[in-house]
Amino acid sequence: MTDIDPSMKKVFKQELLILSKYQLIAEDANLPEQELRQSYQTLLNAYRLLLQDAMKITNIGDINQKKLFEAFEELERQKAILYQSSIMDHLTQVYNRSYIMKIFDNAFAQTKRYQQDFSCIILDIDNFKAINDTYGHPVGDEVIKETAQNIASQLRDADSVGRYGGEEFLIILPNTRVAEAKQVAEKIRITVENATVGKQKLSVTVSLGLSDTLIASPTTQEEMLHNVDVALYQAKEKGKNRTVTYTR
Amino acid sequence: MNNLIITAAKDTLNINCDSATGIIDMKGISYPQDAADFFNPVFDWLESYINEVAAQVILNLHIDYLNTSSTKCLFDFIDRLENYYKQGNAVQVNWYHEVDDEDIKETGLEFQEDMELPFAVLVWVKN
Repeated sequence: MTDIDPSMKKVFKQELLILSKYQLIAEDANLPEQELRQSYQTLLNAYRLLLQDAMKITNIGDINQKKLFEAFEELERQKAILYQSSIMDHLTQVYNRSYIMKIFDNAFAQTKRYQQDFSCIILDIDNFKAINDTYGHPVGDEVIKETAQNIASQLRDADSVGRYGGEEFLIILPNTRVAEAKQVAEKIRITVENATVGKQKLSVTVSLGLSDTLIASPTTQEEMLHNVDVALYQAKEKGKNRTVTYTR
Repeated sequence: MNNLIITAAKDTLNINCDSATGIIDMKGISYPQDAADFFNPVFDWLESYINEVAAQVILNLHIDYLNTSSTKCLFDFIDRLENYYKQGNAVQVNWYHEVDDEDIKETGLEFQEDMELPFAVLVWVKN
């Protein structure tokens, strides 16, 4: 049973005082009827005032309780915003490097434990330095932002994308092997190729390297990322704006 | 007569009682474990002021949160001021709330409704 609020304890104490004051009168059956009636009336009035007091305190208590709950809800809202802020890249609103690496590590651990293969794509914007140098950083940022949106629009529900570097993105595709991953990669590449960015209507292309946990059976995360990196490098070397799958 | 200064803690008010001016300032949040225990010195100060100085009292309240037991104590305190006022003395209670704090404004209005003494509910800008 919960403790009685101290303020209500005081109210109950007052109630006892009133009762003991008028108890003697009420028990005296020899009192004339008029006097008896008056004493009951006084008792009733005293009770009424006490009840009014108690209701007022409860009312005010409720108002402040509501305030407390609202403050608590606001705190929860701010916590959620803070958490989101800590895992998202502020420019692109995809996961930041730290968080996408967590997803990658987790996917890799799942492979080891449950033999659940996954694919990994690294995507790099072609000729980004030239874009920045020619059009300036604000346009460069716009290119990065739009590329992130184009990537996200082509992913499936279970896939994750994060900003891996300045103009690089890491994509994790769980329960996916390279054949299917290549289809996703090509969809992304074509979407980016067909889109234009900004009022300059810039054409942007991307190069993609991909691999999965089966090819060359990487035993560590670093090994797998290295394989994907090699594939990306080959995509750049072969002329950019293409997807290359890692082969041993 | 001495002034009374109670410094705010994480769950109790900042209270300042000036015996030269009769101004009592209460500021902050109030949810002490034992409200009666906390407010006792303030009640004692008021009794001394009424007996020894017997001049005007102005109670300024800038309160952000009140638990139930603090509400009862504040009720009793303002009740005491009401008695003092009804004896022909100058008393003013000013209840302040921030412009968008409807809860504290409502609390002030609840107090005002019951009290038969000069009681104003006012907006203040926290700086």
